[in-house]
Amino acid sequence: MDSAKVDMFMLANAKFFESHHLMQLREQLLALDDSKWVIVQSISFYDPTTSIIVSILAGTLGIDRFLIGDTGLGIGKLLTCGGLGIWALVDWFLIMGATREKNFFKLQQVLY
Amino acid sequence: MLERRRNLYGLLALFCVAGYVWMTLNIDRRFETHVGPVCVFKKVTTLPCPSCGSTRSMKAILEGDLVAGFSWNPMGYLLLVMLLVVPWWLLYDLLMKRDTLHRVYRQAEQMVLKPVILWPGLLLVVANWIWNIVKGV
Repeated sequence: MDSAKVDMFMLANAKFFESHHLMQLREQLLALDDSKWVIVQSISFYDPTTSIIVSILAGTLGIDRFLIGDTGLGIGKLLTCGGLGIWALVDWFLIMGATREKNFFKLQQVLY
Repeated sequence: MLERRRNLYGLLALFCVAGYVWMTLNIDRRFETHVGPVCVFKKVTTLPCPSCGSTRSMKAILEGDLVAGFSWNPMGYLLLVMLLVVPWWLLYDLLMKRDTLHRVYRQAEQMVLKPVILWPGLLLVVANWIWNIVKGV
């Protein structure tokens, strides 16, 4: 893959990933076949800012977890009043990282 | 994949321990006066959340009053079954070095998102929530 394209992608999408994943992602994208470029560009990533807002507003109902595709954990949170409130509180701090991890995993599924 | 499985099993074990501690605190008469409502949603909005009443439901079921268990919150049955099944399933997987629980969990996640299950499920949760608000749990 052309390094200019990859760098542009990284610039535009860096906020969706954990910083320690960025170098690995760049190398993977550089080694990627050109035919997959369209698919990579068409992926819509979950926005960590949206998930933290949803987590603060509706975290006790588990909607933040549903939003990032953690359906099982979302149901768990919904059934337990947000883990008796404790899990909902902990998720305020974890949800942005979890969102970025999900994005990384989503991209990995396309790359392999 | 292995890391995700380990995370899931760790989380489930933590929830089981928390669930048993919470139920013990609520059932054992020595602690009865110290635990009150903890639902953040209820404290903020004064309305019950969809799962408010689950603890009282489980308590009623364990005391043998199945009807009261249902009328407090039907979700209590679901949670009680999970609390009874998951620890043993977890133990089985750990001892036999299998990943049956993880596979079933992933399949269930996929299944829940199918429209045939998703929409009736959502409707049930909302209906139960409205019932909760009307009852004033």
